[in-house]
Amino acid sequence: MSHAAPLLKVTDLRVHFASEGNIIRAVDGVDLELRAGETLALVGESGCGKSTLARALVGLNPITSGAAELNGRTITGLTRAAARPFRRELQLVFQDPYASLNPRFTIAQTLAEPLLLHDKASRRNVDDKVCELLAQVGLDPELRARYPHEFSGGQRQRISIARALAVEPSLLLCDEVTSALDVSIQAQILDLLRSVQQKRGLSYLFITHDLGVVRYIAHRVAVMYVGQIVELRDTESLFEAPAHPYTKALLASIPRVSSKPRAREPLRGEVPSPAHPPSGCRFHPRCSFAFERCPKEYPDLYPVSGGSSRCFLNQ
Amino acid sequence: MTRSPFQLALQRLLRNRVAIVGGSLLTLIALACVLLPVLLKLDPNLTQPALRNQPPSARFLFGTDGLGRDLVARVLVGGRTSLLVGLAATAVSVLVGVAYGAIAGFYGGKIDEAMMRLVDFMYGLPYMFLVILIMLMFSETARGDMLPVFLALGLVQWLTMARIVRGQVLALRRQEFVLAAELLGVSDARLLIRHVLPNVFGVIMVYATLMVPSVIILESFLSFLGLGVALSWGQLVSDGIAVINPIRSYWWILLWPSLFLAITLVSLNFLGDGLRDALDPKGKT
Amino acid sequence: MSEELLRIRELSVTFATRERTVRAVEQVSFDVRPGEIVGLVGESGCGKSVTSLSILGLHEQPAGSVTGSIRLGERELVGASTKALREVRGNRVSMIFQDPLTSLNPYLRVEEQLAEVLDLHLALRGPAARARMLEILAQVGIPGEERLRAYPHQLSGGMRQRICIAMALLCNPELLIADEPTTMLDVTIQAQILELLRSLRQQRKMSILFITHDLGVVSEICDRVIVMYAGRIVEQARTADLLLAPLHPYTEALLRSTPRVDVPGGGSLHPIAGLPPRLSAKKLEECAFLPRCPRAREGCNDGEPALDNAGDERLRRCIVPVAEMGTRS
Repeated sequence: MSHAAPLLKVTDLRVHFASEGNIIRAVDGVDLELRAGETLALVGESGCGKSTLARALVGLNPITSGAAELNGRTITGLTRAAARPFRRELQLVFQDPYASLNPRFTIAQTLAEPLLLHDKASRRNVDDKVCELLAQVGLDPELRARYPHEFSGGQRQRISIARALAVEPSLLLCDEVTSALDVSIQAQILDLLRSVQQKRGLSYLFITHDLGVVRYIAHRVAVMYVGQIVELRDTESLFEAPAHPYTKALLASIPRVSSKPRAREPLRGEVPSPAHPPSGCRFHPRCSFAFERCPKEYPDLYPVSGGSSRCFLNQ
Repeated sequence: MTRSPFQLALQRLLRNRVAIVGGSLLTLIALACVLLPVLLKLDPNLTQPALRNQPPSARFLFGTDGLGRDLVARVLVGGRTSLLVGLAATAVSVLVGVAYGAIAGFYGGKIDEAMMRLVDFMYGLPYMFLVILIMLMFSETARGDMLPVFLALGLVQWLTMARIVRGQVLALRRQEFVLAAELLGVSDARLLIRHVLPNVFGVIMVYATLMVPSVIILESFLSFLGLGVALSWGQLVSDGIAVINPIRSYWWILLWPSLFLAITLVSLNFLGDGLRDALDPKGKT
Repeated sequence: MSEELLRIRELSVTFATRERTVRAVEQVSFDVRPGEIVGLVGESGCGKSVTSLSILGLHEQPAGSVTGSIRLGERELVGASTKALREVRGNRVSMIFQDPLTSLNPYLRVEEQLAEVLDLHLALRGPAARARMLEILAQVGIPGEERLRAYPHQLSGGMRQRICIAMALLCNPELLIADEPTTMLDVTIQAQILELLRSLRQQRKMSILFITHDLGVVSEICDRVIVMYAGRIVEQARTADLLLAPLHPYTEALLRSTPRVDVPGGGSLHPIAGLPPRLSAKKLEECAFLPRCPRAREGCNDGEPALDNAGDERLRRCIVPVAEMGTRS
């Protein structure tokens, strides 16, 4: 990986919502960088803020403070009109294959719309381009006159991916794109994403809760907990030797196919709500390594091999 | 064979026997009202004092009224008015209501709040009172005409349509396929017209179909008050009631317009229900 | 070998839609023994949920037909009257579902929902009922009284699922049917719920029929596994045996298409090509998995293979010789 300027740079991003008298700190101070051709996985459980972060990057959620830059240009805090030029470079693929396609458009119409809008095709050759796109995502171009309800979940996700690729983005945000699919179909989609990345040099910000998928597809991983990144590392380093206690607990909780019975006790307690984050280190109430400092002070991200970790034990 | 959602809905509708019955009856009545008077050269206004208050006979199938006018002619021609008023007033309310509700629902936030507050306010006004006021504002000569009635009825009904459309648009606006289009850089106008509204169309159709009967009834009510159109089913029913007395019932003067009115209303309701089931088989609306 | 608690023989469930008749479950037979956790595994449309719903007669109505036999001890459940089924439901056999939010009535407090079950089956009311509620809640890891007064939306997903489990346990059922109970929960909460289910089985000698698509979960909690595909059973074995050495190409392919957390790079992923078949009522002329099977060969299209014995507690529906399984396909 070259040390060129990052494609995406997020600086101290915060997204807070007001709700029923509380402030929900959905994203609370996130810094990250993503380079060209790289896949960064954003992992965490409910309320960690990963989806909110992704949606904030594309402008679907308003930002409270902080910024994000794409190729050095700010993409946050823009008006709809100012954001338009970036629509070409940054795309988002959603989780639910049944809600992400207009039921009244044929697939051809769905794919033609971005092609025509961003001058990737003219009215004369748009049909050819649509066929090309479909072939790229492994679908038979003959199917383009059909409607979404005639396709399976996996096929619809391919179409959504094709739509996102139509504008030739440099960064694709994948928001739990395989979570609603069967395991065998998920594997197809992951392979597709990998091959598209190899061919086009795309970057992915891959949001998921499934650590197995992370290990397969990501170069680097950011583990989020209650609105913050608690560990940010190369994939293999994270799995071989997790630094943060939450990451350790997360990995230990994953049910895996193995002949050995589970040795460790599951992590106690509930995932805290982002409206009432614990004081100091947010993980301390559930942490088996917690000591006196943890509820009182707030840990920074400290460097560890292959990345960083937000734990006093790593200081 | 690939079928669009619209074609699938049509198929479902055609399988619904009750809706077909309703639709057929409606078509029959409409055709009769439009064509028969022309084909049979019927005159609803020809008074024949010598033949007044005749019960149904071979010559006058529905009988005659107090001025000797052929009731078949009056019912059929009156039907034209009632149906036209129903359709036109509904059309007005649909156009106004959809435009208003779509904008409120699409933009949400303060715009939506302001626009819906206005609707709430207008809902609070006693609308029959308003309708009567509007009718009274037109001069005496214009009073038997249809235009004022269209406007009056349409302008009151649009509120319901606006609310319904606003709700649907509000929900659809946040659907992922709309967000995806927005993220592709599609303009607001195109988002609303090409992505959102076609998916609301079904609901609009259903409510429009169910709005027609209520408009027809409203018109009938106006006729009772003497403010309706000169010749409509409502007017005829009003006339029919006026002549009922314990000695001679003149039942035929009341029966035929009431029957036609009732069948039309029921048919419209069947059709509307059928549309709803066809467009939304899982019962989401 | 102890007497089976639940005995399913040749269960077939057919649904008639306007366009076609769908055979959602085809001649499924298996047992659940007392105190055993049996996993029913497969992907969407394989028939696992319909099978489990049929046990309590909860499948969609009007359905097509349900044929075959489901015996709970002495009692035949297929074709039983609604009254008879209601006696069994919540009482001898309980069920918990995937989405704890929709499994609980959003308008009733927790205590009201628990009270309903106690009243219906055990005729318990008042203080006696309350005592039992607290007892059960403690057993599922919710100590204290405050949660009783809560509404479902005020509780977290894990908490709600615990309450659903508590409701299911109120009458000491012999069998708990769990349909994807942890799929919608966070991984750390899932681990807690699985541990809870394991300990409940231990304490109460309760059997669990655990439906899931996640082979990792199966590995954690099931004693035996039944793999379903296209409405039929394609393999059945003790968990360790099945996962270490699968004897059906579908099971094998499923294992190979699951990304591995404990293998560098996530392991190599081998997707299964194609899509699951559309179920129809026609008799199959070939193996259901043939279009997608990496081990397909002559004879696979020669009628559907039978479910054969393949060793101790093992069944498989495949003609590929056992010796060949486990080698590269």
